[in-house]
Amino acid sequence: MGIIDEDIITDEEATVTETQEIEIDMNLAKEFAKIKKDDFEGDKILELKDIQVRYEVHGGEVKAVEGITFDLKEGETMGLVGESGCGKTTAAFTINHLLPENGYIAGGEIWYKGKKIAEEESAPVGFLSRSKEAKAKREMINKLRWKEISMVFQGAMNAMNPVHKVSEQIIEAILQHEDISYQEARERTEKLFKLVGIEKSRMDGFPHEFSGGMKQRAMIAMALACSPSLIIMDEPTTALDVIMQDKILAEVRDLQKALNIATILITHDISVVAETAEKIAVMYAGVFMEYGDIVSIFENTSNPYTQGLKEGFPNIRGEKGTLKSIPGSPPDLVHPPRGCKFHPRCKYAKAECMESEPEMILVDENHWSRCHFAKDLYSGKLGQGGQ
Amino acid sequence: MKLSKFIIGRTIQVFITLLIILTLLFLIFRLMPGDPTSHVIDPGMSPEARESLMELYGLDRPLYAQYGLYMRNMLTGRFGTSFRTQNPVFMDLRPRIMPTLLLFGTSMIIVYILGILLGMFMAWNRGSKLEMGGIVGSLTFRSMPYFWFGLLMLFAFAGELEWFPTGGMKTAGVDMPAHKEALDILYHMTLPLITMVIVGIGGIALLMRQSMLDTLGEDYIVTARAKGLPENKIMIHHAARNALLPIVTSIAISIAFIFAGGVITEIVFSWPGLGSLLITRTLAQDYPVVEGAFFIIAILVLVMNAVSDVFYAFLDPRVKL
Amino acid sequence: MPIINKKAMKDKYRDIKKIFKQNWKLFKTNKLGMIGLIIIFTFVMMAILAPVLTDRHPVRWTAPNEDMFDAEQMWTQENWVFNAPDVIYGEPSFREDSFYMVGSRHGESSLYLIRPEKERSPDIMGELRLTGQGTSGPTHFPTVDDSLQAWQERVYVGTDQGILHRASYSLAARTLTQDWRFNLANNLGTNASIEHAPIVAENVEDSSLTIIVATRNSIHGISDGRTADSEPELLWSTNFEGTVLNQPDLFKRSRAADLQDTQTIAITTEGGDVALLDHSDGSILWQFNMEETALDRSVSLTRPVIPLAMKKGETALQTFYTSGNDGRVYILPNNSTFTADDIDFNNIAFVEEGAQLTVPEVLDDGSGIYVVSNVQNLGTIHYLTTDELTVGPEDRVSSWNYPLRGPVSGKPIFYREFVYVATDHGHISSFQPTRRDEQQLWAAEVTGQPKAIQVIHHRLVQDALRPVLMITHHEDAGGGVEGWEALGEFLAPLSPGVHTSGTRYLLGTDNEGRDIFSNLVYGARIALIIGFAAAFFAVIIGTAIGVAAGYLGGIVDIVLMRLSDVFLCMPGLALMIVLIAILGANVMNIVIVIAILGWPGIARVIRSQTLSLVQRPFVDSARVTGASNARIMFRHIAPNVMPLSLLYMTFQVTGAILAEASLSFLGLGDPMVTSWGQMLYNLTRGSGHTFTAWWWFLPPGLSITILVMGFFFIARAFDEIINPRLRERK
Repeated sequence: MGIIDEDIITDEEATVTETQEIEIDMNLAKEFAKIKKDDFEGDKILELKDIQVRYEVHGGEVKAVEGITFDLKEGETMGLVGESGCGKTTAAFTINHLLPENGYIAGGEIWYKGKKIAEEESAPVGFLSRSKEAKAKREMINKLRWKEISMVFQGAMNAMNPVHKVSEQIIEAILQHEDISYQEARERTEKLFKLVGIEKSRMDGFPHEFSGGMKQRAMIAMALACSPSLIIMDEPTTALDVIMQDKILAEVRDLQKALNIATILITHDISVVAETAEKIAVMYAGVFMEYGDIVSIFENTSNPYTQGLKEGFPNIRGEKGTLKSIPGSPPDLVHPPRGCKFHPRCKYAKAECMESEPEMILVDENHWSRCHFAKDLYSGKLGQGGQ
Repeated sequence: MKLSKFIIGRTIQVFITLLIILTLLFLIFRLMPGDPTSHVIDPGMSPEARESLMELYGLDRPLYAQYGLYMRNMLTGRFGTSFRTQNPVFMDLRPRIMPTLLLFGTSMIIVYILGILLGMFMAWNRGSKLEMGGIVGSLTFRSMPYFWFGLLMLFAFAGELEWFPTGGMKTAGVDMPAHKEALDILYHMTLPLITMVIVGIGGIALLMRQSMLDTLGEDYIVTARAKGLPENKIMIHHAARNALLPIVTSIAISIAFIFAGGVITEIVFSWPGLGSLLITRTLAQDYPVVEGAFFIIAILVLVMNAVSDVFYAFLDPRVKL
Repeated sequence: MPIINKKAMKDKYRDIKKIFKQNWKLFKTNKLGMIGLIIIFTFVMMAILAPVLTDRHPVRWTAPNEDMFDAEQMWTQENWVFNAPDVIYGEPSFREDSFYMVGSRHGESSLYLIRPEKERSPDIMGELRLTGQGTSGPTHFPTVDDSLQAWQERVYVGTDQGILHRASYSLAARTLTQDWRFNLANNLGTNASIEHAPIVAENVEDSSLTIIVATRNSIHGISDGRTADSEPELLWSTNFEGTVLNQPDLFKRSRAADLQDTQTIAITTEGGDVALLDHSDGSILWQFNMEETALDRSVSLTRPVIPLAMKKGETALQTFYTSGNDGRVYILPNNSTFTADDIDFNNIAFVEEGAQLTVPEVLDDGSGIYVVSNVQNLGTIHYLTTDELTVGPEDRVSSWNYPLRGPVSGKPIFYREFVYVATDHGHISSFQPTRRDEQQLWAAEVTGQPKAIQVIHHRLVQDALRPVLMITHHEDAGGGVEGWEALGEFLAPLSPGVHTSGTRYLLGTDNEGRDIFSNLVYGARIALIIGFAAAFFAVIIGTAIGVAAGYLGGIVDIVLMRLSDVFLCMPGLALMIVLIAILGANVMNIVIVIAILGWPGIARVIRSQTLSLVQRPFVDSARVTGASNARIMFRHIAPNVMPLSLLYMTFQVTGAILAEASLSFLGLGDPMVTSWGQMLYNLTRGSGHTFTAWWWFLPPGLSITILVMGFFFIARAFDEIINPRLRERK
């Protein structure tokens, strides 16, 4: 936590634009919303069914995701929360087949807009693989990438190619999926910049000339370029300072509402999703600990892990208390613990927690928790109830 | 505007380095064992000639005065007189410069272009038999001494098959029109060029491959994939374009290796360039020519380094010109 | 300085062993790395075991002449005109490409050292006036002069006045000077004329020499030392009744169980005496008169022969062959108890009735002898196999014979597997014993009266030694020497396999007959030594400078990095060439020069590594505890950059090996040692052989390539160990 955004300090020019508030131009937004041409009538646009993902490494296999199930409706925002290494990024990357060379889907299915886009694989297939099936898969997913599913990466990452202009990188994405002229694509890029609140004159700059906040906004602009139906945001604000975080989040929220895009918001900071998401999934050691309606989960936390996450963050409105961090450290995913994956660090752990892994228990409408004592926690019989 | 500033700055750097090199040369030739004058004055000269030369070089004056004179002479192109041919050194050097530039320049361009393509190809086909073959092949040729491969080429293609001449740059004694002469030179240059390219390509290809593999692990490649871009666009436009940068940076070091190879290749094929001159005159103890040839070669290396720096600045927008 | 803590050292040793074991485990998994290690190990073994793998010195050993030169049995006298300054008395004493001769004119004799030249008058390398008339030829004896510590040639000549001269020829100064004259006549009075060329016996115990001189009726032993100023002394004299017939023969006695290995002298006299003397005191070991066996007078004696088929350690029964004027060849065993009864008269070969036989010549392996029988001015050359020498006296026994066109007083000689014989009328012919068709292979006519023929090897064409048949004429016929050059093809470089002399060449030879395999294994030494040494020094210097620059920073950093930049931009090989040319080409200089040009590459990398290390907390804590800069650099930083240094050292080795090979190839290698690059240098110097001698061309180049590849392979393996991220990438 608390990573200092160096770019703001070094890039003087950028500080000027940072202090201004960003107003979303609603008309522009509506224009973009129209671009989407969709004939999908279904209820859920994304469904993950018991997805398991593993990585092959030198010592064996890392069981990064051990069975998660969720779905997303049109325009819905879901927060995917957990500590580093819990598998949330892996889960997200699986959706549009962005796993690294040694990763593969060990089980489960992914459905997008009524079509199956991923299923169990026998072994990792590198993205450069020449095999026929690999090529076929690439062809299939490339049609969906960015046009239907786009991504916003962590700002701290080197997510944009340093040797090409930012505008070029956006135009490239547009031209890949839309049959329009270069000039038209460039005009759209201008509008995108306006939409996210970056001066048009910066458009032809290089990534290293952008400050952290600007880079993030540029990436958001790029993600919106083809009017996708689903955006996956991986820690979109982690690299920024708190003020910037706030601004960006607000912008994201507004954009998402205006354009009605389904969003998965990945973060380790539970407070971030509190304001933006309708659903939340709390992930630990490759499985969901708690999943469902965000209000219910926040008010009636039914899982010790979720509790722990909440307690790690200061509450402005609540009583003054000491911040507690969860003792211990995340488990070894090559040889995960028996039974409940959280039991070594759980203050409520009992014998049954060591022997059997709990199932996802429905504690309320649209509220699941994976804990033997989920109902007790929900009702408040055990520990603290809501907040 | 900024470009010219950069060029001026770079030129000054080159100049300073040249001065240092000249100083080193001076130290080497004057302070090394043996009679220092014998390095400058032909032992077989007449006393009067010796006198005048000693005055010219100030060999009877103290060391610092000699140094000053030396610097002045070298920087104005007065490299002295050859022991062998009795010509002013520069006259012996001049006709050799172009052949060296031609051979070295052409081979460097080809080596870099082909090497980069090969490296990219190897990285693209990661894990395949082609890549393995490429790695082993590159490593094998990288390990081969230039002269041995050159001799092999000579024996096979000039000796046995007689497809190419066994040396030299032009067919002797025959007058031909300009365009035919160009073809003749090309004909003579084929084998030495092939030698330099094949032995040199391995190193560049392996570097490029490694650079590509490093680049492919970068985050913007993930972004490019996520954007649904086709494979060749990712490879070339995104990966290779970035992988090039370390290669260009390493040109400075590769140049030394290629020049060394070039010198040897010139001797093997009797190519009338600065390299073969350096060697033959060194063995003949014709020191003025050796100094001059070395100096010119050093200038060439430095200029090429500077050019590659400018080129890098064009390639990488992060570098402020 | 604290006392070395034994326990601390033991702990450290254990730590190092643990680290080593860990890394070794990792290393083993890397296929390429293991291959590289095997390659390097092979070459290192080759270098270490070089003396075991080959006993041929790479530079000094050359293939025997018979392999190098395919002499057709044709000789040509074209362009050979040779006029000796004087009439030659006795036989010349031949050296490699020149000879000593005694020339007489108008009653005056001189000793000459002459080198015959083709198409020119001979080169008189030395001349010395003698006292008296030289009756026989000189004897030359190369030796190391203990006082001068240099090679010298002694020449001993006797004259008809009984004076033995000693002269010495200095190879370095190229002068022939007289050392002393010893007057035998003082002790003997008349009959002191020295009749035959002296022979020189070496005394192993005190390294003195004994000069054996034959006067008319006696044999004398004169001692001489090995120093330049040693004076002669008469040791012993032994007298005989008859005139000593031929030059005493010197040979080692057979190794019987109780007999010592002494040198003995065999003589025959006109009266039919055959005697064996001990060289140290002239005592007669056995003596025996052939007259008792009903012979006519003069007898000739061969040197004894040990059959080659014998095994080592077996007691040899040496055999003499002696021939007499009765046309028979007698077989005499050589042992101390030899008596007349031991002559087995069944073991006599009857050659030709009433013929005067020359001294039988025995083949090297004892399988047969040649002898010439002269009957009424016509000679016949006979070849007898030793088996056949068992037939009784009544039957003719020669395997084959060939009539010659005149009498023969000299003796046939062997050259390779051929025998040459010259008649007194000037006919020279050659024969081959193994051919059953009794064909004369070559014949020539010379004007004069040949009394001796000899084959020498002359350095004529292309630095190759060519055989020249030298024919010395009798002094009555002018006493000159002429030469016939062998026609034939110069075969070197020799391909791998077995050649004429029976020598096996694993990888053939180069154009001067040097063994390629020997050069290859000894060349491995140079490649590895220079490679490692240069890389080691480059790494030491580079690491030191890199750490200093990275740690101390500031002006030190700027200066050092500028310096290394300058070195990096210089054309490396060109500078190496210039430096070697000036400093001189030897192994030490080459190592230094390569190291000087190698350190900048490492310095830069180590500097970056140091910079990143400097940020780390352990450096700060070391500073806080008051460690000095030097201490920090040496004890804390250096061990952490060590793995990187090691990795770069393997790269340096590859560069060093290639640099050394290039320098040697250009002719700038150490001329005292052999290296792979030098082998290829010789290849380009020897004209015309380059295009076909693959066994010369491929092995050194392949060796360089494979060895360098080996280092690249282990460099890759090291790289993966040091950069773990490379490891995970499968």
